[in-house]
Amino acid sequence: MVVGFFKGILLSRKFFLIFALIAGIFAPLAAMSSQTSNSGTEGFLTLSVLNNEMKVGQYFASNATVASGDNMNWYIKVHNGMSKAEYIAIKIKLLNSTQQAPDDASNSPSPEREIISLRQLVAANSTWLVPVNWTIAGTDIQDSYTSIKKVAVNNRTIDDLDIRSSDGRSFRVVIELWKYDSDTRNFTFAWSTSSHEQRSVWNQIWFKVKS
Amino acid sequence: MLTSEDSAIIAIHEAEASGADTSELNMRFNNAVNLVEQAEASHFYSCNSTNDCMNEANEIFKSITNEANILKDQADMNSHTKMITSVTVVVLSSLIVSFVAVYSYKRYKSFALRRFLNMEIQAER
Repeated sequence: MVVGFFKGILLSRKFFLIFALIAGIFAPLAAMSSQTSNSGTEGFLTLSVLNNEMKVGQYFASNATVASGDNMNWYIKVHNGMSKAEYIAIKIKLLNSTQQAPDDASNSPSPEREIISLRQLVAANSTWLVPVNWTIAGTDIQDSYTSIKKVAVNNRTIDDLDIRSSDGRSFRVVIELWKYDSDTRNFTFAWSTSSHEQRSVWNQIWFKVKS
Repeated sequence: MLTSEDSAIIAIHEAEASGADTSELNMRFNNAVNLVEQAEASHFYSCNSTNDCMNEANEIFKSITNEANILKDQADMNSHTKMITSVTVVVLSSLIVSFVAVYSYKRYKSFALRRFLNMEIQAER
């Protein structure tokens, strides 16, 4: 009799309807929640340049003027706010005032070659701090122009430079952030966000060379 | 052509997307990148020559690719098992809840019927 009672419940239409309703709602939710998903928030990458005291600004000992042989101890700080690890390249370029800098409107990098490139796989939500110690190791100062011939960055000497400036000896260090694209298998300066906007990140610091 | 470095980074991304912990692989990848940078700059401090640096880096990239693929398979398996477990728990819970609901409903109905049958008619004066 007890078995018949239970059997009656299990075979009833009410039991089947309630079971189908609950399982139909919660089983797909359980299946979805067990899958790995990202947070759905907009990812970002940031780049900042810090001085030897890990602060923004006062990058040079003497009012943005550098003499050959002066040591600049900077830090480049990259934060990966994306939902996955990103393979990042920092490209440091040395330009005069007329050479083309990166363009925010078209998200294109400076066409000039980098003096050094540093790469690192940066985990999601973590920060990569890169020490950059650089020196102008050789200049050619004439009446009409100043040319940087040689720089040393992180103990590497780059001596095939000829970056000339005639207008007040103005130069700039351009720091570009490039991100590895798994589809093109290359580093790319600009990337698309989830809302299909193009983004790029770069920074520049101006200085003059002491004659 | 896919280089060993490309394969390694793609494998790490796939493993990470499957939910695997790739922090140890990330660290080894950066060590290998450091060797490549030494080779590119011909500035050696943890390997002896360009060939030496590149060979060592390639070995590391290949082992990272293999391990990332294993981690991805494990993570996929774990995710699959977790999904089956979750669905099973939901189905069993639904069975129990449905049974209790129908049982309670039947008990209530039989109680209501008994109460009705036990009612007495009283004349109002």
